[in-house]
Amino acid sequence: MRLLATALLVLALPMISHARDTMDGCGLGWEVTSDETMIATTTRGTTNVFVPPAFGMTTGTLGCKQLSFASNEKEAVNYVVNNYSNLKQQLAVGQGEYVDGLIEVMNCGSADKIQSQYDTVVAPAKDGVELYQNLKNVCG
Amino acid sequence: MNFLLVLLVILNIDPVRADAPDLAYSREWLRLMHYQPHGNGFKSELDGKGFYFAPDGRTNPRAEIEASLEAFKQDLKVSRLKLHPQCAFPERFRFLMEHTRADIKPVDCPVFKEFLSGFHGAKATTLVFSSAYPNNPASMFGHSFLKIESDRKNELLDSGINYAAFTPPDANIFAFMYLGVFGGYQGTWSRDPYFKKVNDYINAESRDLWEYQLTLNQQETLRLLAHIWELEVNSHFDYFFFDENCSYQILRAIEAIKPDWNLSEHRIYVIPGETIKRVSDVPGAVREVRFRPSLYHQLEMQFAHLSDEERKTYRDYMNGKTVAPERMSVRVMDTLLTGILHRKARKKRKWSAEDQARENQVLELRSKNPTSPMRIEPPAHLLTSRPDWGHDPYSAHFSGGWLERDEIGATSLFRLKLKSAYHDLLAPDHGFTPFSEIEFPWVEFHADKKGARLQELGLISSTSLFPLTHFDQRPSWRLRWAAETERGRECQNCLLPGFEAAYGLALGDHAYRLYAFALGKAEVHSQLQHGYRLRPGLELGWIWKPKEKYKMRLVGRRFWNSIANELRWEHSTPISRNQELRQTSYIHHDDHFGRPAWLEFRLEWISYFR
Repeated sequence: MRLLATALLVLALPMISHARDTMDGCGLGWEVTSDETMIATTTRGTTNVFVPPAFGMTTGTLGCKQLSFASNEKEAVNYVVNNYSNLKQQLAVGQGEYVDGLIEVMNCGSADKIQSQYDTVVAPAKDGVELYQNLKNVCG
Repeated sequence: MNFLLVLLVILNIDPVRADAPDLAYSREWLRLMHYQPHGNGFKSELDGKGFYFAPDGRTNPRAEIEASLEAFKQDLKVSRLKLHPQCAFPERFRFLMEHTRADIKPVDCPVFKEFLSGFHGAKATTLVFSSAYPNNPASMFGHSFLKIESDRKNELLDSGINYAAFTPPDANIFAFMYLGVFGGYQGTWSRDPYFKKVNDYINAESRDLWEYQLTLNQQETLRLLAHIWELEVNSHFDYFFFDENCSYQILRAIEAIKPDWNLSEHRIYVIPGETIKRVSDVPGAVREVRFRPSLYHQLEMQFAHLSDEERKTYRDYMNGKTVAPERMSVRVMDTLLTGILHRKARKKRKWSAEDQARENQVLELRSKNPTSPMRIEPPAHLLTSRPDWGHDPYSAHFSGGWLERDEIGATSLFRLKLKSAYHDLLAPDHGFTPFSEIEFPWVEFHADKKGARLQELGLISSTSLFPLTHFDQRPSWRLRWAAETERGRECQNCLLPGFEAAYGLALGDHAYRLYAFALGKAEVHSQLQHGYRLRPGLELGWIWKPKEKYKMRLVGRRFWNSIANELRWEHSTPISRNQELRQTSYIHHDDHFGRPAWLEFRLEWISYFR
């Protein structure tokens, strides 16, 4: 009996450790949801659990990069990283819902200012983190 | 700990005695505690431990009031987070303080407060419904989750709350279905920023979102959060795909805060789209309904506003050709950007550096032009798919007509069909994804002068007619699993269990579909020549919806290997949300006779119900 239980535990371990990874919110939430399955909506529960230790929000596509941001920056970083594609487009267009959200979450001036500096601020950013850092210089 | 509480309860004089004697059995308390009637008494719906203080709290609402009040006085550490009982059960504590005369000193709850502050001044609650995946009618049942509105202006900064089965991400599909249906997973509440929900549904999966803002005020919204908190940190429900699923538990949580709203009653299963109807049916429960079109629909809307010349520019660019900058109007560029986002979502990791370089070209060109983008309002055919406008899921079909079968000659015919869900191709599309079909178990009886018989016993049938467009090309398909009584002469009056798969292409817009399917049908029966029959076939169909209240379908099918031809012509019109009239003409021809083996003409009345 004990042998059986041990065997089961050994078999189950990779599963458990895998589940833990997803709870740390290290990009995997996005991985889970980007794989189309008929019932993907139900697997989405793994992205972010309501309560501690994963108390905060998912870090989405940060992709486990070891980055340090001040805690009051966390939401803005998360916002820019997760919305990178849409944000880049709307910053080129000069307006839109994603831009409004950015202005609110980063306390930024106006979208026109960013559109006029698109070539230096938005275009060179290769990912969300770089875009955030460039935007911080404009907004700050 | 339980022993201690029992002792305390026994020693303590009943703290509720001076209050209304029926508090323990009041609807407010029963709903807050998730009791359901069970035999002569009540039973908890929670499957995890930790939600009740009384040893018999799961079945004894009165004992639980007393035990809870007692626990709130003690300096205990309960819940997954080792919190004071008042902090682990903030809504229960508030409720009992309001409804009893207990005098208990409130404690400070920093962890719970931090949790609430993450919602940035939660002030309103919205129930969100996500429509089907494009090209997958099986997902028409949808999904629902909550949106908690913050005091900030931008909606993307609100929070989404989801209830779902907690599953390991590598669970194989069979284990997933089995455990899901039989409650093998625990339900988990999770929270995400709303922009993440929008990214998942609107951008990555191209599903529309319908947002039903409820009339819960700020206090009630905070109480809802407190209640979900006390469910999640202390206990859990087992998750059942069909009934105790995402939609059900969300409704139960809302009912705990709004005990006068009856939302969660159901027959066999809970369909998310149906729960939206439940909520809409409660007078005054919904303040406002908003629509967020999927990326696919955004693209469709933008594309519809382009001139022919602009469409050509769009196609050229998307096909990788070089396009002169002067052809790039603002409208073309903005449509291209949406088209690129859509393609990016579909390609996922196959999105190449070259693809990115082409997007960057458009972006840089667009950033030089400060013109505002064109505002496009969603067209009527998208707005009519709001789930509360749909017909109900169950249906009864009564039909009568005239039949000529080769061996019995002419006769009158009566049919009765009962179906448990959901939507077929001729049914009115209000409230559903147009031109898609998902039918769940059904049974159909026939009576003619030869007597009555079981004509059809169906398990599932699903059809997707996805139109080919410049911006999205996907196959159309059908899967059908049903037993049907043979109409031809090869196996007279046999009930043939069969499986049909069809694959093909469709053309169309919001008013029609033309489609061609290559199909295969496998049937088994001892009276068939080899005990089974495999037939390849071809199907051509035309569905036409010239106006909202009329649909027509013309379908021709030909099977080889025991040749049979079928022609079906149908008309349908809704007479109210839950009533529909249909007329069908049908000819079945096979190679035994030169004349039709089956000729039918009938009128049908359909009543949808729940």
